[in-house]
Amino acid sequence: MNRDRWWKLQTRAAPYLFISPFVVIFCVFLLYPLSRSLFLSFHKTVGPRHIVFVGWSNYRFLLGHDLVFGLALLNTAAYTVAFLALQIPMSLGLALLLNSRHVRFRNLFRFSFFSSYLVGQVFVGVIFFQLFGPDGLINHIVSILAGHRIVIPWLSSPNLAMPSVLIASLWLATGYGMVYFLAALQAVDPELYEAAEMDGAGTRAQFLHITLPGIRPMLAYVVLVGAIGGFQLFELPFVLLQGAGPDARGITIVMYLFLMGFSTGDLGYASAIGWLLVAILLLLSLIRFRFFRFRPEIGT
Amino acid sequence: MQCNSYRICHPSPPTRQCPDPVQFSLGKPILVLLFAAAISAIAVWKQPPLPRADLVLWSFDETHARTFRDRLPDGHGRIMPSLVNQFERRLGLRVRISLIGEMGENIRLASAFMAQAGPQSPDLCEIEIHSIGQFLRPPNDDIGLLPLNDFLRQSGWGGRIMASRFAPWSKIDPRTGRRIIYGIPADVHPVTITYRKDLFDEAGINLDQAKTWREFQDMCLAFQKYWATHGHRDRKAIALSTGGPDEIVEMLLQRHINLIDHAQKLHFTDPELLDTAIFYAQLIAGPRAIGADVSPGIGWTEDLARGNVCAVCTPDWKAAYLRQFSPQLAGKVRMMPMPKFESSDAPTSTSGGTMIGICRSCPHPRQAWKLLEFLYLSPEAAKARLAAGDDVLPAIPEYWNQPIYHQRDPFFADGAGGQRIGNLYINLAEQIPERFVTPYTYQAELALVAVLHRAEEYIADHGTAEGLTQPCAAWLAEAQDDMQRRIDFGKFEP
Repeated sequence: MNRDRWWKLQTRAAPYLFISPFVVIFCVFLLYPLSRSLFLSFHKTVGPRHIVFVGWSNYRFLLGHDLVFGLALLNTAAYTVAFLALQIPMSLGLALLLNSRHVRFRNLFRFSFFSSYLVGQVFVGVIFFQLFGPDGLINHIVSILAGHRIVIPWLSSPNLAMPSVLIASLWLATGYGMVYFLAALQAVDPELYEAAEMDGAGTRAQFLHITLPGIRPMLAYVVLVGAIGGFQLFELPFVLLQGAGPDARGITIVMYLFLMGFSTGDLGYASAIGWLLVAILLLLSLIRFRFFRFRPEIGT
Repeated sequence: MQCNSYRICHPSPPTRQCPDPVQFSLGKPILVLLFAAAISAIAVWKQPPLPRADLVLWSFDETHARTFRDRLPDGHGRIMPSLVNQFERRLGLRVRISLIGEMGENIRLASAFMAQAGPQSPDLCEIEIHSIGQFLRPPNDDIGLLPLNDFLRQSGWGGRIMASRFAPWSKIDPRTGRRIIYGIPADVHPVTITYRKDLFDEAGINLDQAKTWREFQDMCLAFQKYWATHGHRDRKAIALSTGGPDEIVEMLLQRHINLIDHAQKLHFTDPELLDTAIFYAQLIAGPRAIGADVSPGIGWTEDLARGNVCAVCTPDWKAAYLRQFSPQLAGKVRMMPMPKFESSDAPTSTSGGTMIGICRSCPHPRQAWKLLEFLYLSPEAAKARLAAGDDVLPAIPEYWNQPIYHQRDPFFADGAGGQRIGNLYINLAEQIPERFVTPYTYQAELALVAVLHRAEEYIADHGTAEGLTQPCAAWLAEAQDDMQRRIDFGKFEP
């Protein structure tokens, strides 16, 4: 092969060679498992050799008869709504505070608040498992404040199981949201605030008419990521509540998927739960695009 | 053509004038990453490969793995070779024991069984009682574990291991009605009640005299009343879960009720289950409540030491935790059999358990059985278990005559050098009820807890359990219908 032809072959093949590692990994570890799980979701499987097509039967049972899935869906949705309702204002509040020039050691605080996110859900689960114990630090503080011993059954009361998970996840994720809001706040043109001040706008008006529109795209992003994270919740309650929790009040969709797949051993049904979750997340993304469509506004 | 050092020449071949057409700066961080990757790769490459093994055993239990792998004292001041070494010397086979986290082991086993992957699956594996259900779901011929009936018969061990302990690890063959055994039990795990003798004595109550649960409840109420007037309003008599199934399942087993039996039959509508559920709800709610939750994990030992709760249901493995984590309780606690509901009930229950089985993909099942026999059933194994500090009762009654099971234990108060708790466990072990585990057992337990929660709320609202029978029966019937639907839906009909 002469030099010119070899060079042409190289230039033609190079792009494919460059992307081939990704394509191979994507196909083997993502595309194949995804398509296989979609296939399984329409089948009933028992053991390695028995598989039979059941059409929409798994989905029908899941949506029509499965009370535990209903509970998991309700738990997950309630958690997600509560999480977003608390995390967004807390993260934004922290970001506003740490964006202020009047606060000293801002970088230290920023890192401190963000650092909880670095440890991961399992570790936070282990920490809060200790903190929420009958004689854990939280009950200890409550007892000191009350003046006598109070035991709040954070992890064993069905009514407190999900709030406990919520508290732990807020501790974990508030700093994470804060970092995004900080980045968005720093992108808002400071001249807009100066102009608004000259026009006599107060702090509240500046926040409502400059800051909020300025961080709107980021707000939409944090809401979407938070909602997806909320619906994918698994490790934290699984570690914190040692499974589904008291009266299964800590069960989430992904936890139910895990239990059906690896406790009952029904992979077809577990796959159907997974694809329903995909549908829910897709719906959430569509809602986000419908209601938070990016419009270039003041400050962006 | 102009050639810049940062522009990619395209598409002509390199020329002498442009010797280096594709050139861009890698940057220091990328170089550092590359260097780190190279160092890691060398480190991994230099790692000595795992020695080839003829037999591989996966265990999730650290104590068991230590018993198999470690050199342990023989009780005469000498160190004996590890069980694995002894086996290797005798049979000339190489054995590897892999200690794997329980959840990880379950997932890897499930994947290996599904893929029928010989090289990826071990030859033998230990499985915990809560996890066995999923592995027994397929038809008998497709279960990833090998039936052990023939090995048990040929070796004679079938008649020497407690028959009731085969129940969780076996399945009935629908064609022949024969019980197919997939696992050899490691333990019996009878349950007793351990209570704070010092605190009950101070209240003037001898809990040992409680022979029925109702007597037990009355005595505990008197105990709580005494301590409430002595500055401990929050002191509860016994640790009972309000949101989990552990203790109520133990009570139901006492009455020989499995939520789902070996024939996949549900027992939610059994009148004795209704009676137990209502009674249990009164133990944890309302004016006759004597139970409370304890701290998660091993926190219950601390709760007992502080006197937050003053009794706990104790399978033999929990007794060891008590000694280890609350040594300050030495001489202050005492053990008693579980009270009964009726005379036909067992004075004990069973909680927890581990089995060992041979994987179907094992190329040499006979060698695997030899290893299983040596690690689990042999006298050497019984000796090694004790040397490793594992004093739970083995499932082989002939080993119960070891002196350690009959010694006085000063940790448990008796007034004469300590209670012989080993004797107590042995007496109860002979009466433990059969416990079955199916793929739906966990879901059934969740359903039972949901009913209990409704019963608890009823008592909290009405201040009494009067009138609870009818609604509770209806809730249990609902739970049974729901579970039946699930089991029917999960049935495989090719």
